[in-house]
Amino acid sequence: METIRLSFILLFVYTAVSKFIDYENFRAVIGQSPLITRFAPVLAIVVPVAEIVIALLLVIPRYRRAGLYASFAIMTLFTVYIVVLLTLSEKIPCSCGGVISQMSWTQHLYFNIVFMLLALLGMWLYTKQPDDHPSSSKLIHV
Amino acid sequence: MMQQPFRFAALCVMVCIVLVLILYAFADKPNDRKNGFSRKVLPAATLKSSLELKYPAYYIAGHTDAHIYLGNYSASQHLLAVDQHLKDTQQLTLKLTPGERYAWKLARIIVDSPVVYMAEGSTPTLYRGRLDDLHMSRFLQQSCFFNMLQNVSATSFISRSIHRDSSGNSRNILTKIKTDSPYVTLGKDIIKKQVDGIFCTDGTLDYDKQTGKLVYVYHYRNEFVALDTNLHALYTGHTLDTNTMAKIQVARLSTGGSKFSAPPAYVNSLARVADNRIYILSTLVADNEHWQARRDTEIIDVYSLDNGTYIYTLHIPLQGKERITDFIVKGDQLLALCDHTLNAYTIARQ
Repeated sequence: METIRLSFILLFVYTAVSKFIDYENFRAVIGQSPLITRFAPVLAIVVPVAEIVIALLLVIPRYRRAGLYASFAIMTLFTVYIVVLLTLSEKIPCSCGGVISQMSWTQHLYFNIVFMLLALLGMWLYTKQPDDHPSSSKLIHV
Repeated sequence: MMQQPFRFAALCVMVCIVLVLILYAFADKPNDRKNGFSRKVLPAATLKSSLELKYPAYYIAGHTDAHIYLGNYSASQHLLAVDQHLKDTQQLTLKLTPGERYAWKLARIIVDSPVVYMAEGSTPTLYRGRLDDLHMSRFLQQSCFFNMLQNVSATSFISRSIHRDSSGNSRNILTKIKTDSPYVTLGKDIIKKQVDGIFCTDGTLDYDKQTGKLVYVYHYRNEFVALDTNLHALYTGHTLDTNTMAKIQVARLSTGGSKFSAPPAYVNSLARVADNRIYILSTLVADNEHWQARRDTEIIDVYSLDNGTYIYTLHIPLQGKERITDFIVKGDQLLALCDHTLNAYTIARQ
């Protein structure tokens, strides 16, 4: 449970920060995607901000559950986007930030699916816990 | 209670699929709308023979009557000689003196029998050797930086170089590089700037030995320029489509570079000159072609090299998913490189 949470925090903070550091480049490259050219300027800010917000949700014990659900949602969105782009589009640019950009598109897809399953597992584990009070469960689950 | 996260997950997947499909439906797709021009299509080319290559990333370095020479982007000194029936191959290696340094990723081989060149424009370095022994030695020391090179005689080359004017704007220009004085001549107004000067002027340069004419075909607009080897423009021709302005968006980065910030609208992806004709690989579908004509076919428009008028169109059936990355025309034969495969087609002529 804690591992899942930490890996998501790490993932989102890392990718968001690398997007912000290389912001100009990120903005240009997501514009090259035929699906989102029009929304590129907005998305260039919304996506990394959303990633930071989700990471924060996961950090704050009270919102952990919401954070997990949001992680699942955003990973699903990314994954579906990749699938659609891979199957329907001729040319595909990438701009996911940091080392994650070095992955091939299929590797990317598997990576995302693994994280989706992780989030799902986290969500399931969370609902299984009888005690919904995060502070008490912390010690037991580390 | 345990059901809830899975219900959420299922809902989430569905919403995401719908959302992305909506994005896809509203995205600009090439050839989605009528392009506003028609073609005169000759009977489709027929595949005569094909050869599986061991490695990807080949390009056509040149050809003689008996052979086709392939260079490789990821192995700069490697040269593959293929006989004209695509039966025999011979692996060759260009020999350089040990310790030679050059940007090997950018190096390109040009075969102009009996001479072979290897050119790399960012150092810049040029090597020359004989095709029969492949001993390469430095050549043309008085040169300039270039990003494209075409040899036009034993002692002169036409290059595409980036020219920076007094106000700091860069753009592509054609230059002539010679072995004697003046070593470098700039042909300033042959390539015309439309958007940023670099991306908007990108294109293909090819040379016709028989007529001594060069043709520069733009990637993103319906235009090409024919010129002689002294950098005098002969005429400006137009391809069939209606893209007079390059539809590209370029973002300038603070690092000094620039990048596309929207998918570029390719018009002419590749061009080759042969037998007094210009063969242009087009990415656009004409109104009188099937809207999915490009799915398993490449479209090559043929223009006259004399005056740039359109003559006819060839349809080249593709064998797999891979599109044509390079091609040459030899008489009634078209040799096309598609990733790992070299295909020989018989083409109709008129």
